[in-house]
Amino acid sequence: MRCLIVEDYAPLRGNIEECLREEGFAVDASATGDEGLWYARNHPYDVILLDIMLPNVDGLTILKKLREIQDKTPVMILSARDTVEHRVEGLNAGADDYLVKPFALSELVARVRALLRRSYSHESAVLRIGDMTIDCASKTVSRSGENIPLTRREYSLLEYLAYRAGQAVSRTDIWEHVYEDHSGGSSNAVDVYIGYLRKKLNAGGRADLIHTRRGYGYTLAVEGS
Amino acid sequence: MRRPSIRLRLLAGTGVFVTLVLLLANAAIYRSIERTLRKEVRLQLLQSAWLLAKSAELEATGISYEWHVALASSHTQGISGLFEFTDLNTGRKMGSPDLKGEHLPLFYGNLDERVFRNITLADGKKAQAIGLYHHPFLDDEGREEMERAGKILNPEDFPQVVVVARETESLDRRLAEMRGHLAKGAFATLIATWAVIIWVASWSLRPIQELTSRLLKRSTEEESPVPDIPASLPVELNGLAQAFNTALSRAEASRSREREFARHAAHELRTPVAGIQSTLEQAIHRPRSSEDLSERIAAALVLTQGMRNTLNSLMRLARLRGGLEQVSAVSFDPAAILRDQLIANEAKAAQRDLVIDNQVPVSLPALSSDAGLFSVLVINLIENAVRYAPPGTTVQVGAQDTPTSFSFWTRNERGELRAEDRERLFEPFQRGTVAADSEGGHAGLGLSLSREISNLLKGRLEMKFEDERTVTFAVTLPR
Repeated sequence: MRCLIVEDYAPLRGNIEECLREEGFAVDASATGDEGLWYARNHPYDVILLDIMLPNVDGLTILKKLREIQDKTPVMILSARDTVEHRVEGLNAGADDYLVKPFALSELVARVRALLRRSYSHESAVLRIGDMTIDCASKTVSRSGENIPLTRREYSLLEYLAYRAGQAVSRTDIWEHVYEDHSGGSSNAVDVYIGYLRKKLNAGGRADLIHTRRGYGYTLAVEGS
Repeated sequence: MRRPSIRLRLLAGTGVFVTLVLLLANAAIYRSIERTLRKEVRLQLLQSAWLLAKSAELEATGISYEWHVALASSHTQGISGLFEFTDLNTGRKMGSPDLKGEHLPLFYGNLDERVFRNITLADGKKAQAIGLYHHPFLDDEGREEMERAGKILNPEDFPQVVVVARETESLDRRLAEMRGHLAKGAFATLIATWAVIIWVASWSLRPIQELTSRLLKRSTEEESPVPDIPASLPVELNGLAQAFNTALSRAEASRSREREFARHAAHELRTPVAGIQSTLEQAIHRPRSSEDLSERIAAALVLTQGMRNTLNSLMRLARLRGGLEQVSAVSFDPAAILRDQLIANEAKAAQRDLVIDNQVPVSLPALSSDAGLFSVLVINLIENAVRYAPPGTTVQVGAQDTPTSFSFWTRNERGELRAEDRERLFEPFQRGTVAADSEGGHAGLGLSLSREISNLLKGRLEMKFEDERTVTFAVTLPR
């Protein structure tokens, strides 16, 4: 999952960035409003964390501009403004959540995950595809009750596919939402990680849940469903 | 506390005034009419008395009262009322038939002197009377007759008094009726005046009620514009309404500044706390090496120091604004303070590829002011210039001394600074387009503090756009 942080206070920005990376997110960060708006307009994000008081362009303006162009990316406002009026103003401007500073990073991560679930229409933090269970809170994967250890990148890739289970997901999409850089990526790198995943998930002769859709990409689903 | 009412004041004021005017006017009218009527009565009495006096003729046989002859012609000659003749020599009285044998009081003055009196008639009625002491009438014909009769009489030997009276109760009744009419008229006029005043007052005050309701409605919509003055508001109240609107606008501007201050203060204090909290959370989130932990704790300490700087600046600003900052006057070398700060900022200027053009004279006369506050001014302005000047440009710092003042300035390229930001930049927590940093020394309080300090030192801090490229911050202090 790719996340954009627009926060001018470097220490906080750095900590959120580090925390989300540790949670398996691909993260972009910006210190100013105009740069943040550019990022948001030019890259697909699964969630945007947005401060309000920013240099050059304030957060609410960024939010309004995004909603004007029908960008439905979930946005969480991170603000020191704590009154009901300010929260209402932020939510009315199109924010999906509002978190008042100071906050616990664990709460931030939980809210980000809740936004993602809502965004991908999942009700629970536990995703089930066939005999596979993915616990997004503990970042653990199991098949038929047997735990499958994954690297951070493998887990991120599987989680992204799981959120879009049943859909054909292109390699470009996977690259943009799972990997850190915006270079356009290498389809080979995606294929390599898909290969790693398949190997771990299908160990012991289990059914392959990742299906290659020629010309489209990959779909995570139970065969025939 | 009971508030004065315009309506009641108008009613009371005009009530008293109109009542007084009506009373005086009615009294004057009444007195004039009464005088005229009573004068008329007196004139009639006098006229009657004179005519009757003429009717007492002296003949050779004595006094002959020919009043009945006079009375017969009284329609044209004006004899009216009751009368009675008295012969002072004999005491004989001759009264008019209407007296019906009763007598009138006898009173008189000197010869031909008219004497008026208010009397009571026998039937108990009030009357006015005239008493006229006179001599009987003697004409040439009577004198010839006396000569023929050989008996010459002298009128002076036959003193006579005629008293004529006229009942005045009917006149008094008419006057009483007139008083009643006048009082009723005055009362009706007063009521009508009050009714008109009440109507005019309500009519005139209605726009105030309209303005009041607009203002009340406005008080619930703080962000909306100040309401227009109703066109129907009396011109006399326009000034008050304008002054109220001005006061309201000022109060709201002040409140808006307060809100802005609170908003920024919350941001500047909560954000570092969030930074400290997230740094410490990250530190304990997973097992880390002692070096990593030390780095994170050190980072949290830097943030804490930054918060302390911000809080110190805020406290100082609060003290300055609250008049709690004590100003001491000592003699110090301003050039030395300026030079020290230029040296202190050399490294940061070099980092930003800035050239510092030191135009501070090598020596300046000592300045008698608060050295501590002066240093804060110098630090804020030089640090601001070094922080905000576009990289690769020059920052000029200069000073000038005159017999009456001392001034120093910083001048650098203005970058994105706009003239319309001039006032906003002096508000607390304004950082221009620069992001917040972890040191907290640049929370955007520097210019607010500097302006407050300049004012406290009885000087001024000005922001000047002297050409299209540069911005100058100049502090002038009195000598």
